[in-house]
Amino acid sequence: MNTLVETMDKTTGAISSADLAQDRPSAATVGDVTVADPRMTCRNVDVWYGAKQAIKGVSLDIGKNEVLSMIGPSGCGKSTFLRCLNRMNDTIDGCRVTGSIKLDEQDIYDKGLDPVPLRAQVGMVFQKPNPFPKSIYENVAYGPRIHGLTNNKAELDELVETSLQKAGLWNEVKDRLDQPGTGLSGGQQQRLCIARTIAVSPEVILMDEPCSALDPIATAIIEELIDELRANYSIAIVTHSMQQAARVSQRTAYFHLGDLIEVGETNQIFTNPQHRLTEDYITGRFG
Amino acid sequence: MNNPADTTPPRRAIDIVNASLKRRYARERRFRWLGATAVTLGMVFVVLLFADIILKGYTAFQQTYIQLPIELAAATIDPDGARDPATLARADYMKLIREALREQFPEVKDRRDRRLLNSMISVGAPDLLRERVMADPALIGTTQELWILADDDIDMLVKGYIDRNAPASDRRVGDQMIAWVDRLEAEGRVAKRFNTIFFTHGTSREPELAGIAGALMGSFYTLVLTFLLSFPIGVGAALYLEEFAPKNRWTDLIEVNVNNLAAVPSIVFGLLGLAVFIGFFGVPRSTPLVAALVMTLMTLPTIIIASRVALKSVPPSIREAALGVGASPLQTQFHHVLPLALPGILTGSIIGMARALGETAPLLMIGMIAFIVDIPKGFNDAATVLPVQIFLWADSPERGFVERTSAAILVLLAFLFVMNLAAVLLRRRFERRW
Amino acid sequence: MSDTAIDKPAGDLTTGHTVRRYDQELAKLRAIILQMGERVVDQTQAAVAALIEDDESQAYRVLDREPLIDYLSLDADEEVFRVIARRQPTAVDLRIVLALSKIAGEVERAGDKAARIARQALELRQQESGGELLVEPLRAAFQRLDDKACCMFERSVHAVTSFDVTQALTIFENESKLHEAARALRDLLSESDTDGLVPRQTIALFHCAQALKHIGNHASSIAEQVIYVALGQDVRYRNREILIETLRHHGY
Repeated sequence: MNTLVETMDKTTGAISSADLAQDRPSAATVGDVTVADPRMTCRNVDVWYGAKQAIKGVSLDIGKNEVLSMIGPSGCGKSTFLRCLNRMNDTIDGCRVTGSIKLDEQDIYDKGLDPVPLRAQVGMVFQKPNPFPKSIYENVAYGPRIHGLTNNKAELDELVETSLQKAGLWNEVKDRLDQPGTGLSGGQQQRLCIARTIAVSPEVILMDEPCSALDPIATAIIEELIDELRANYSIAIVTHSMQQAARVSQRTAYFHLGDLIEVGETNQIFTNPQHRLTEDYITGRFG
Repeated sequence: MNNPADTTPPRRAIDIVNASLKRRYARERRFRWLGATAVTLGMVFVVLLFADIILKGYTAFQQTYIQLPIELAAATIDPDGARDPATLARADYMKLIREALREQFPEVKDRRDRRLLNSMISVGAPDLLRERVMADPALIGTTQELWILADDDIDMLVKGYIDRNAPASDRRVGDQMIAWVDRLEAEGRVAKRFNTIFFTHGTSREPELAGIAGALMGSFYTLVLTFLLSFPIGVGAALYLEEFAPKNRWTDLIEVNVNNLAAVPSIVFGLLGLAVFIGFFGVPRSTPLVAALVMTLMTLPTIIIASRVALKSVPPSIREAALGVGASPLQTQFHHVLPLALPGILTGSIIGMARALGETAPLLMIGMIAFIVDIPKGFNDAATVLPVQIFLWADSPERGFVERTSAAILVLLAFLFVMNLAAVLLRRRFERRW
Repeated sequence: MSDTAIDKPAGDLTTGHTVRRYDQELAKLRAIILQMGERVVDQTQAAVAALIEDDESQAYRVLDREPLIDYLSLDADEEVFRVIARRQPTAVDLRIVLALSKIAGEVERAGDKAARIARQALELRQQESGGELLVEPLRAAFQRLDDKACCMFERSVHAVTSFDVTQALTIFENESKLHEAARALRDLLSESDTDGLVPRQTIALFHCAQALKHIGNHASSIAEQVIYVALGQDVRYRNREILIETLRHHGY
């Protein structure tokens, strides 16, 4: 009965909405931002683009072997937040990040920390499939090669093969590894990008709307792949498709205008969200 | 209800669209017609230009020779019979040719006429004969039917550039000479042969001896050096400005200046080269080296601007992809961005090179206008370049230089065509790497 | 903070979608159920009237009209199916659609109960032993049970119009009165062998009493669904008293 009372407390608040909608401090996120076994922990992260604040005091954990999905209307800061996690925002002029983002207890915005090895630890898959304009083999081999992960050609071959296998692409491309990666279909290209990312053995994989350019079949294959990858990696995925978030993730975070509004088990977010904005968004009432 | 306006059905949008359709199509037709006219006009001028140059120039690729039975008398060439090259070189070959010519025209006795007869032969003919003999000393002591280079006036006459009907005083070739030439022609002793001299000799005061080899080599050395200097510097500068430099007031200033430099008149670069490279650094004047330095200054802005555009057009997703797998910024640029931008960079560079190839004004400032007969053998030899050579020949009064000017222009155009072809081929080669 | 949260009328949970057709589809589904609900109330009242007043034609009319409710429930099912297939409802929308689907079932079964009463009324007539069938205390007891059941059912249907927790709560509170009225009627029937009713007639009347009580229970089930929609909590099979207490405590 206790749970009922508690949830009702929040719910009543959410439905009568007066007290929570006004003057909600930006850090007050509904739901538990922490997980028992975190891989990355973010605390009070603010991101500024020049004078514009894109992220307002977001705290969020990414657990081991979980898929965390981030949803929200366009411009809500979910992609910006994702790009903070491997310092991809460094390349943008005038972008400033405060607060702490830790990967296994190491603050990734530490002054002495080199973003280059960080990006090998926290890999990224982008919205548009962006294979290098080189052969399929070269696409996967590039990362290990620049990081010196393998000692000889045989090892590299093996790493390429296992990466492509993990990405579920091996059987489709094993006979044409020397052909251009750009000649593959959209879904295959995206899986090639995933293979390229996992070839450098990252701990966390960030995915920025990885299926937005793909057809439903290719999307389903990628979603299945994400579910398989969860066994070995922590995955954070930004998506515009709420159904996709519901399908692939264990936890869901809802962003709104730079605030993290609500975090929770995906099951709970999609059946009974606690915050009115979350509910409105996922039921298609705005955004 | 009695209002007639109420009974007319409302005008549909499609009626309004249809009404204006005719006007819209007319405007479109007019525009297309204007475009076609502009293109046609351009084509006509190009064709006219080419036709003019080719018509004027093609005859320069042939040269008139006179066939004479020359007795290569051992007594004259090699009196001591040692076949010593020094002796062979010193021999009076002109005498041999003149004797052969006199034998052809035994009736000419008068001293003045003899001199006229001798003037039919080019002053360079003995040199050519000497080369021939020295290449094959076995000829000495025999009598050979040899083709001897004719003087440029004879050449012009044979090519029909001299009006035989004009009064003798207005002609460079007198009636007597015409008669001799006609006689030789009737005997089949006059012929137009391919003009190898044009491609193997440096320039000369005598049109029939003037070639473009010197200018061609000068242009070649200058261009090679210009490319070697300006390409790495230009691409490097573009890469730094585009990808690494912080965006602030200083880089903005540099960008504006680079853009302005591209528009600076080329003669200014010549003055700069004169003052800085020759005056201050003491680089020898009229050499491909100093020309290349000036040309480098001139082409740098073009290459930098073209390279920046090419770099900018590389999709950012490639940079993200490279950074995303942990490539350092420099690796990102050299492994991924630069190869993709290379076709564009090459195109820009070749355009810059082509401009440098056709440039005259700044080179006049740094002494490339000097009359240099020798073919340059390196970057530090005095040289001239094709456009300057054309400029010099166009300025010469002899009728023979008119066709040579056009021929040199043809060679320059061919050079440019080859460069552009190279650009296209290079582009295609690099683009084939997807 | 966006103004959306403040300005949005807290009233109707089915409106406000960006896709307005979605609103219309949900509204249509609910309208079907409300229509069913109204019919069921009418049917029940008519059936009980037929029973009490021994009106054969009234009873037949109830039986004739019964299929209409079934057809409406088919419509409702189809609409639910369509909304799920086309809109993939989530969160409150999903709860609304699922709840409305269940409510449609409850209402349809309540309609069956009304028909059963009408059928029993006819059965009673066939066993007619002459004289007035229902003596006064029995008639009043039936009337009271009918009032309670119909009142609860009507309210539950009304609660569906705005997914009103307060109304649902009053239905739970009325449950005890319903059970009381049902018990009173049963007691009366078990001791009224004096009134010249043959056992078959008594059994028929028992069935009627049972049907009326079930209609009231369906109303409770509908109320449970209303709370599920509004609060996102499944309150079926919970201790009613504690539930009522908790909801009260939160100001409903």
